[in-house]
Amino acid sequence: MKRSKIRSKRFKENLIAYAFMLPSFMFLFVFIIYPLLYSFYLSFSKYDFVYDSGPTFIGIGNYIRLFSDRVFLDSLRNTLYFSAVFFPILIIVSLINGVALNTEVRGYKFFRTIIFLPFIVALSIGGVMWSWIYSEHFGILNFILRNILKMPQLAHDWLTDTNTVLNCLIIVKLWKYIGIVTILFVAGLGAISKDLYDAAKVDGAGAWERFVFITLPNLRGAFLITGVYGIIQAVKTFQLPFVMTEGGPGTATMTLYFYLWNNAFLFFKMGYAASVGYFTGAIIIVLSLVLFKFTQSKG
Amino acid sequence: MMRRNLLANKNIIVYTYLILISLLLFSPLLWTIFTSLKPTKEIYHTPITIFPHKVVLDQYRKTLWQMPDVATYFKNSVVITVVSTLLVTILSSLGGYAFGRMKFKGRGLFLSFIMLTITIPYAIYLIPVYIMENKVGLINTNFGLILPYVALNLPLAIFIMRGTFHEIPSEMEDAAIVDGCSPLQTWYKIMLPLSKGGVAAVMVLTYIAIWEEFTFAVTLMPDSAYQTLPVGIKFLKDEAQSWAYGTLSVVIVLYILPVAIIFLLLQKYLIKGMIEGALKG
Repeated sequence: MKRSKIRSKRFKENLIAYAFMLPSFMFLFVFIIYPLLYSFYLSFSKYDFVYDSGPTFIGIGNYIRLFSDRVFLDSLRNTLYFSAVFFPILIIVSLINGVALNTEVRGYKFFRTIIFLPFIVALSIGGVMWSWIYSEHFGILNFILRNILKMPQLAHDWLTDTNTVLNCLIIVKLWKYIGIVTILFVAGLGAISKDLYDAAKVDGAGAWERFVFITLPNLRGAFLITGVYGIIQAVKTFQLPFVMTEGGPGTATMTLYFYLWNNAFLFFKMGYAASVGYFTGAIIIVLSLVLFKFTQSKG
Repeated sequence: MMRRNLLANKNIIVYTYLILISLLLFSPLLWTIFTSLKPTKEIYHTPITIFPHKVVLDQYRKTLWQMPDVATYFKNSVVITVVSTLLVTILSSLGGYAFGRMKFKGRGLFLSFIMLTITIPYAIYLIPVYIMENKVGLINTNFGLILPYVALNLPLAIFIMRGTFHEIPSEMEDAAIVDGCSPLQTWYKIMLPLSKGGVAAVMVLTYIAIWEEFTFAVTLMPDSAYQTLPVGIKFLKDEAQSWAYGTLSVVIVLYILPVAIIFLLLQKYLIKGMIEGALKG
């Protein structure tokens, strides 16, 4: 008798909890869970949205095709290059910013705000802004190179030169994301106990030693978070090639994400696009796992 | 004496670095603001000028009076962002209450699912959402963009609200229940007023995320009349080739202004929310 009463009470509690979650869950089901499963199925199907009435299952055909697709391979190479340059600079500069802000010198809050400010600018808006900065005749970058630094040989049309264009996009993305990663490092640095530093000082450790033996190992959690965040942002490069270069010149700024979008919404090859999407997702997961192992093994 | 010198030296290095990095990060914004205040002649004059020789509002006048598209984009952005943000706030404070205060079956599963959705690239959802909305005729409607925006921003919002509710001492809730409040009344009258910080964090984070969203907007709103500012600016840029940076920089300033005001007012909550979302995950 009593037991069934407890059970019915628990049942009622469950029911109330589910009622509070139901509205959110409906949104998540229709726009996240179902699409996730459906696009997984699509990645094994042929589905030309304009001509086909529905998807046809073709097994791993799309995934095999990826590796003989020149544009896909170019996008893969560009995305990996982007990540390999973007990631270390993002982490190192943000960490230095974090350490500088963590000294809490007078006015550090003002600097924190300024450093964070670019984060509120949409990438597409930032892309337009920087296109103008990179502009050949009227851009401020070439003006500085020609008239202030007196290095006119470096001034050129940045966004049509295949050698510089991808780096130009990397700079825009760094500009936007350094602020938020800095804030995350500030939080991580603030969580380290001051006692550790005092003890090390008593033992005669210098500033550099304290940084290497106390700060870095204690930032393991922060490295994992900023790292995963940086990987996701690097691999998801889409707006900048869309707004600034349309993937060009040639395929110099074609990224996986942009190629995915082109396949889906320019050529309407939904199945093939989904396979590019899942491949991109797999890259993020693999890189994150490598990072996870790396932060666990160190120290 | 030496110690003080050392300290002063350290401060000089820190200040020099902070001033340099701030200048570097802030200069693109400054350059855009300066451009928006120059007459067109000065913008396309070589050698270019950094500071406007003559501050004029020509570009603002031109953008506001002669470019009706800009007003449309702005209005679309405001409507979509405000409605989505409100929905996310309400739904996440309901859902977060369940996660933060109640025990129920499947709680752990839901939580790991929420973490999963934060890491997966948006585009994977986008293809099926497009196919679905195409079928039911939601393409080029505000509704068709608001619904997926709510879904995409819910996981992080629920996560933040869960943390906020979790920290409230349970005496308050118990007292309400003793007083005979229903769960919904307890949530609305007692718990919600105590979690203002979390609500503010969710609102400002969601606002910024939707105000800048590009991928879904460009796909689900192919027609110019329905586009938002971050997408519209791409078309303004294409239309004008590279000969309209005066008016484009006005559009950029108009884009940044509302979100900068919100950011400066609610900076505290934004940073708290981000750190909670990132560090506790």
